[in-house]
Amino acid sequence: MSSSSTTTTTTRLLMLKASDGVTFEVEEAVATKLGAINNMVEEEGSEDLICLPNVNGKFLGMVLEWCKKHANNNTNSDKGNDEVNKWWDKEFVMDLDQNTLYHLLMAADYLSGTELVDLLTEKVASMIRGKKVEEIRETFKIKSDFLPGQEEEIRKKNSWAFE
Amino acid sequence: MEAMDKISDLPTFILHRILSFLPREDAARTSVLSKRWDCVWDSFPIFKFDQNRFIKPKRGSSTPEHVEQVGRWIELVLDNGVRELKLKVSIAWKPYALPGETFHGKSVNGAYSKFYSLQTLKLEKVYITENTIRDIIHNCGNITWFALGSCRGLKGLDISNLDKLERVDVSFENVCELERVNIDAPNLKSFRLESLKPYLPTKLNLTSCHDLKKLTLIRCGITDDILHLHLSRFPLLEFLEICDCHMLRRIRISAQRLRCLHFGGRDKIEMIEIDAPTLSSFRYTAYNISAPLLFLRNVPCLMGIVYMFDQYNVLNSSWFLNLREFLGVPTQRKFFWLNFEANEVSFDLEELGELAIPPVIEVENLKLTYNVMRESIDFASLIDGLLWSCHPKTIYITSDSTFRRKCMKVLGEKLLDRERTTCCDSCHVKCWRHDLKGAKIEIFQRTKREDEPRLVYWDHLSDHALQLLREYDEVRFELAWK
Repeated sequence: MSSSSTTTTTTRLLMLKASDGVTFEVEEAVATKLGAINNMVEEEGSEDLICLPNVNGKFLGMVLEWCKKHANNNTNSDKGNDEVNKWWDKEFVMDLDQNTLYHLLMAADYLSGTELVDLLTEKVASMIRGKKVEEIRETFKIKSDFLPGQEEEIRKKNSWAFE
Repeated sequence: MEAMDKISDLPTFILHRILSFLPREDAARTSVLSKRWDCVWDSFPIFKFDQNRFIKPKRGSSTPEHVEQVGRWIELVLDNGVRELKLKVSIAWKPYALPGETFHGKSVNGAYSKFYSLQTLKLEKVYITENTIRDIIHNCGNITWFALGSCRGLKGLDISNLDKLERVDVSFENVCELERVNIDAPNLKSFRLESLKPYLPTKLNLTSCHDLKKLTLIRCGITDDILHLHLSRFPLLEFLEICDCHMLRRIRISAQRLRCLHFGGRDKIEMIEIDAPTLSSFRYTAYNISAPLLFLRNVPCLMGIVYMFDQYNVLNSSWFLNLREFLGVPTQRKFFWLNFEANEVSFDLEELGELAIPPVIEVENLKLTYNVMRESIDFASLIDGLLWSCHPKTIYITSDSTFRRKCMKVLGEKLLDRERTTCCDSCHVKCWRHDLKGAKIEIFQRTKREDEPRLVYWDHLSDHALQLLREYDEVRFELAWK
C-alpha cells in the first residue's frame, strides 16, 4: 500500500482503537465525518493511531459502519443520494434496542457525530411520540419513583398536555 | 437484559434533544414518567409558543387580541436573553406586522438595552420594515444566522456592521417585493436567496464578503456581469448553486476551491464555461431537453444530468429522439438520472423512420427514480426508449419501490431475451439490441439488516439470474456496447 507515489488520490488510512482493544482501519475521509476525529487528525497531524478509551469496539464498529455508508454515498455526491442516505438511515435505526441506542448515542456524542446523534435522538423520540405514559414506561422499562400523590401533582401542573 | 432502563441514564442535554423532536404535549407528558424525567422537562430550554395549542380550532384563525400577545411574547423572550428566536405567524387575512419597537431596545436609565445573547434570528411570514432591520443591526450585534422567510414590506435588505454574521437566508413564497440586497459582513460564509420572481431582486451586492464559501441563488435577477463580479471576489467559494435565474446567458466560472456546483431549472443560459480543478460534484438539472453549451476545463469529476419531469409529460418516440440529441452533445457529462412524475410512455422506432438520427453516446451510469407513479406505465417502452437514447455502461437499481422492482425485472428480461427476439429488421432505424455487445448482472443481497449487501451472483445474464432476484436486492446491470 505504502507506495512512494505522491498522487493526491491515495487515501490515508487511520487506525482507531476502541476501549476493549479492538482496532478498526478506516479511510480518513470516513473517520473525519466524526467531528472529534476530524479535530484530532487536524491537531495531531501525522498520528495514524487514535485511541478512543470511551467507546467499546462493538459500538464503534456500528458508528463507523454508519459513517462509511454516508461517506460512500456522498462521493458520488448529488442530491439523489439524500434519498439513498435516508433509506439507509431508516434501516440502520429500525430494530435497535434501547441498550444499543444508549451506547450508540453516548459514542456518537463523544465522537461529535452530530448527524448520527440527530438520527438516534429522533429515533428515541419516535418511540415516545403519541404514546400514553404507561406505554412509554413499558417501552423503556421506566419505573416510577414518585411518592404517592406526586405524580398527580405534576399531571395537574401540566394538565393541558393530558387533555 | 432487555428489561433494563438505559434511556433515563442518558445525559440531560441528549434527553432535551429527544424532547425537541416531539410535539409539546408529548414532551410535557414525559414529566410524569419518573423524577428524572420531571427534572429533564423542568430544565427543557426550548419554548414553542404555538397558537394552535391555545386557540380552539372552532373559532377559526387568530383574533387581533391573540396577535397582540405575540408582541408581548417576543418582548419577554428578548428580555430574558433568548439565544435562538424563530417567529412564524400565520394569519389568514394579512401579514403580521412586527411591532416597530420590537428590536428597538428599552431605555434603562437613559441607556438603551441591547440583545447581546441573540445569535439566531429567523422571521417568517411577518411584515417588517427597513427600520426594524436597522434596529436589529444596531442592537443585536452577536447574530450569526439571520433568516427571512416569506416576509413582506421590504424593498431593500441592507446589512452591515454585523461582524459575527455567518449565514443569511432569504426566501419568498407568495409575494416578493425585494428589489435590492446589500450585505457587507466580513465573516459571512453562506448566503442563500430564493426569490419568487426570476428577475427580482435586480440589485445584489455581496462583494465585500470575501470569506463566502456557499452561495445559492434561486430565481434572482442577477446578470452575467454581476455574477462574474461576485465570483471574482469569493476566492474561498466551495459551493455554488444557481437555478432559474432568467437574466443569465453566458457564464464563466473560475473557482479554485469549488467542490460542488449545481445549475439548473428553467433558466435561459446559453453557455457555461467552467474552470474548477477541485470540483467533486457537478450537476445540471433540466426541465426540458435543451441544455446550454458547456466548456469544461480542469473539471475532474463526472457531470450529472438530472431530468425532472413536469407532471403528466408524455414520453413518446420523438421525446426519446430529443433525449438522444440532448445527451449526445460531446462534453464530459457522464451520468444521467431521470426523475419521473406520473407519465405516459410510448416508443416505436417506426415513427422515427423519416427523421435524421443523431449519434448516441455512452453514459457511465443511469439512474431512475420517480415522484408519482402511474401503475399502467409501459415499462417495456421505457426501457427500449432509454437504451436507444443513451448507452448506459451501468444501471444500478435498488429495489425499494414497486417502480424500481418493475424496472429491474423488465430490464433483466429484455436483456436476456434480446437474441431470441426478432426486433427491427424491417425498420430503417435500428434498435438498441444491434449495438449491445454483452450484459452482465450483479446481484447483491443481505441476510441481516446490518450486513453490507453481499455480492451473491455475478455473471452473464441468464434465466437463473433472474430467478435469483428477491424483493430487497440491489442490482447492477453492466452493459458493454459496440
